[in-house]
Amino acid sequence: MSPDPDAAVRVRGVRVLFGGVAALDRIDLDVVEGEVFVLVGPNGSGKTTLLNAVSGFVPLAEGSVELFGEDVTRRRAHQRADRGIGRTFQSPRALQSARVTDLLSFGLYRHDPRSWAGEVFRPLRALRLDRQVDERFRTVLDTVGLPDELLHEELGSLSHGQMKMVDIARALLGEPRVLLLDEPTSGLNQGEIDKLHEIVQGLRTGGCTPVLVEHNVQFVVDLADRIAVLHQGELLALGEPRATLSRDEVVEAYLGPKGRLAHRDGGHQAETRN
Amino acid sequence: MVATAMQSVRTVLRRPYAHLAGLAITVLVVQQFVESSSSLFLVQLMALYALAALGLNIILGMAGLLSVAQAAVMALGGYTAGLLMIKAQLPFVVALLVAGAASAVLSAFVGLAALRISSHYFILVTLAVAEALSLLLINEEDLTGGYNGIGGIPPLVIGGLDLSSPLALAVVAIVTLFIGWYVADALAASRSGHGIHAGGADPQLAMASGINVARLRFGASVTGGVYAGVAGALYAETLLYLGPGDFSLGKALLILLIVVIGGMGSNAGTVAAAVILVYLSEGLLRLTTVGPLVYGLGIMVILVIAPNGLDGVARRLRRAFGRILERRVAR
Amino acid sequence: MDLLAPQAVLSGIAAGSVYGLVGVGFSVSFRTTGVINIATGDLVAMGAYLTFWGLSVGLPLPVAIVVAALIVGLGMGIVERLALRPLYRFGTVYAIMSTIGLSVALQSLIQLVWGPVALVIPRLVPGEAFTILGFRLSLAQIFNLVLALVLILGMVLLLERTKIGRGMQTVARDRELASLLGIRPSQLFFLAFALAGVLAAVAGALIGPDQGLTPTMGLPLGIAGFTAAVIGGLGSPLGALAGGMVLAVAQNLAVLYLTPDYKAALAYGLLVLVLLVRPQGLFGEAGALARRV
Repeated sequence: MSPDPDAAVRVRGVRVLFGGVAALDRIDLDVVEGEVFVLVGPNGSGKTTLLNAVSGFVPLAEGSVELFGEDVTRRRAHQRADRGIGRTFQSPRALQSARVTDLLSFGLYRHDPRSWAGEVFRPLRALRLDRQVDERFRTVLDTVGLPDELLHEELGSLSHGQMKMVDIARALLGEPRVLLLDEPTSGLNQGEIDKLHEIVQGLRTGGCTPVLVEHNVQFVVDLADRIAVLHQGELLALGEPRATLSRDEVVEAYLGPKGRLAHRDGGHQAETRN
Repeated sequence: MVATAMQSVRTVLRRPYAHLAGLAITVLVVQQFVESSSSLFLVQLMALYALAALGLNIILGMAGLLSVAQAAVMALGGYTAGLLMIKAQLPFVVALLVAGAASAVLSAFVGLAALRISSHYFILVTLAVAEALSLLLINEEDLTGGYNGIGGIPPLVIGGLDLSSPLALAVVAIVTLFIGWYVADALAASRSGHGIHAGGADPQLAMASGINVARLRFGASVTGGVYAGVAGALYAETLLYLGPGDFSLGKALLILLIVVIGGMGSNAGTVAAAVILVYLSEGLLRLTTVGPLVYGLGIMVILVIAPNGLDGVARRLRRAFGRILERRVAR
Repeated sequence: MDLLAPQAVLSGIAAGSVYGLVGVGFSVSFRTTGVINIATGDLVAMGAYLTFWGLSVGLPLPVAIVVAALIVGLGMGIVERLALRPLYRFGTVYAIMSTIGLSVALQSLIQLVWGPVALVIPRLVPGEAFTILGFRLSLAQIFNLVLALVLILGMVLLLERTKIGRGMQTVARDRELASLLGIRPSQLFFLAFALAGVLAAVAGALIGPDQGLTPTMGLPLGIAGFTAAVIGGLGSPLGALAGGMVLAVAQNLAVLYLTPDYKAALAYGLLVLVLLVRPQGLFGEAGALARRV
C-alpha cells in the first residue's frame, strides 16, 4: 500500500492483545478523507476492536494510529475526540433514566456554550443560550429523522432504532472530522436503514469521513467506496466493495471451506458472489 | 399547544426566579408558622443535611461515584470551623472559608482515587477515609476532645450582627441552602455539569464525546466536598458542640439515603428527601430501637421498587398528567 | 526482646489467614458480579453470632459453625436474588448501595436480637499458647491457618477446575461470551454471593473467640477483608490470603513499634495506599481490573 498524504486515519502495524491472544495483528490501512470506508468480516474478526483501537478504547501492543497526519497512538480517547474522531456504539447502554436532551448535551460537550460561571452569574443570558442549544438539538434530531417531541423523553422509553439514531445525533454534535459507526444498521427497520444511508451520504458533503463496521452486506455494497475485510484479526482484503467481496479468500472466510454458512448474513454473500 | 404551555411554565420555573421565590416562601413559612426552638432546630438540621446531600448528589447522582465519606467531610468542616473559633478566636466567616477549603482538600484527596482507579473502587476509598477520620477524631483527644468532643463554640455572629437566635440560625441555614441549590442547578445545566453527568452515566460514551472523565470526576468530588464543609461549619453553629457521633457512618448513610430517595441527580428531589428523612430520623426513628433496621431495609426496598426515587415518581406523574392534558386538548 | 518482631510476624500470619478468608469471599462475588459487597463484614459478624446461637440450642461447636455458614450463605444468596439482581441493569452503584442497606440492617438486627454486650464463643481447638523454638504459638492459630488454607485451596480448585468456577470467571470477563457458552449468569451470581457468605461466616466463627462478639465487629473485619483482597489484586484467592497476611503482620508490627490506637486505621491506610499507588494489587497482574477511569 502506498502511503497517502491525505489519509484521515492511518493505521500502521497495529496489534492488539486480549489476554495474550492477538485480536488484531499487522493491520495497515489508510482511510482517505471524503470516502466512505467500511470494515466487514465475520463475527469475532476484530472489526469493532479495530474501531476501538482507532478511537482509543483499547491499548495497542504494537503499531501506531494517525489522524490527519498527527500521531495519536499515545493519546487517550477523549483527546482523540478533541482531534476530530467521533464514534457511536453498537448498543448504547444503561442510561435508562437520562433524557434525550442529556445525551445530546454529552455530544455537544466540545462546543457547549453554557459555562458553569455563566449559568450562575448571567441567568438571563443562560436562558438565551438554552434556546440556541434547544434549536441545535431539534436540527440534529431532524437530521437523523427523529421528531422534536423525543427531546424530553427518557432514553429507556426509546426503541432500539431510535436509541441508535439518537446516539448518531449525539456523535454529530461533536462535529467530528471522522465518524466511526459501529454496526449502525443492526436492529434497525428498513425505513431507518434508508435514513441511515442518507445520513452517511450527507456526512461526506458536510466534510466528515464516515468509517463503518457493518454486517449488512447489501448496505455496504450500495454505500461504500472501499471496504476492508478482516478475518481472525488480520486484514484479508481491501478495495472496491463488489470486487473485494467476490474474491475467493473472502468468500471462504465468510462461508468456510466446506461452504458451511458461518454467518447470519449468508444470503447476502451468496447474492454478491453472483 | 400543550408543548408551548409547558415551555413557558418551564421558563418561569427557571433559575433564578424559582430559587428566589422558593427562598422567600420558605423563610416566610418558617417565620410565620414555626415557633418552638425545637422545631426551628429541626428546620436548621433539614437545611444543613439538604446542603450536604446536594454535595453528595454532585458526587454520586451526577458523577456516579459512590461515597460514604460525605459525613466525614462534613465533620472536618465542622471541627475546623469550631476549633478555629474557639482556639484562634477567628470570626465565623473566616472559619467558614477555612473549613470549606479544608473540606475541599480532603475531598480532593478522595477524588485522587477517582483519577486513578475504576469508579467501583471509589466506595472503598471513601469508606477507609471516613473510618480513619473518625478514629482520628476519637484518638487525638488534645485537639478534638476525643469522645467528649468540643464544646463552647461561640454563637453565630456575622459582621457584628448577632444571628444566634434559633430563627436567625434557621434563616441563615435556609439562605445558604438556596444559594447552594441555585449553584448546583446552574452546574447541572452547564457544560461541566453535562460532562460530569456523562462520565457517571456512561464513561465510554463520555470519552467518545471528548469529555475528560477523570478530571471532571475529580472536580465533582471537590465541589461536593465544599458543600459538606460549609454544611459542617454551620452545623457547628447550630449545636455549639460537636462530638464524633455527630458524623458517624450512620450520618453518612442518612445523607446517602437522602440522595437515593430524592432520585440520583435530582437537586429538587434531594432537598425534598432531606426534609422528609431528617424529620423521620429525628422523630420516629430516633425513638424506636428498630430505627436502623428500618433504615437499612428501607434503602434496599426503595432501590428495588423505585430506583429513581422521588424524582422518578414525579416524572411519572408529570408524564401521566401531560397525557391527560393532551387528551383534553385533542377533544 | 529480639524475638518480638518475628513473633509479631508469626502471629500476624495466623491472624491474616482469617482476613484472607473474608477477602476471598469478597473478591469471588466482586469478580463475578462487579458488585462490592459492603455488608461483607456483617456477614462475618452474622457467622459468629449464628454460631453462638447454634451452641445455645445445643448443637456441638463444629455443627454449629457449619449450620451458621450454611444459613449465612443461603441468606446472602437470597438477598442477591431479591435485592441486588433487580438493580444490575441500572449499574453496579445501585447494587452496592443496596449492600450498604444490608450492612446497616444486619448490624441493627444483631443489636436487636443479641444486644450490645459482648458475647463469647469457644474455640474449636485449645487456644493456650506453647513455646516452640522461642516462639509462642497456639494450636488454635495453627488450626485457623490450616483451615483457611484448605478452604482457599478449595476455592482455587472450584474456580480453576470446575465448569461452574470457570463459568464465574467467564461471566466476570464477558457476559455475552458466557451466555454464548451456555452459562446462565443468574445461577452463578447466586452462587458467588452464597460462597462469599459461607466463607465470611466461617471466618466469623474463627475470629469470634479472639475478639468477642459485638454488633459492630463487622465493619473493621470487612475492611480488613477488602484490604486483603485489594492487596492480593482481587484476582486469585491465594493473592487474597497473602494480602491478609501482609495486613495482619503490618498491624502487629505497628502495634509493637508505633501506637495501638491506630491498629484498625492501618488497614484503612493500606487500602487507600494500594488503591492509589498500585490498584492492581501487590500480587495482581497489571491492568487486569484496575483500568483507568
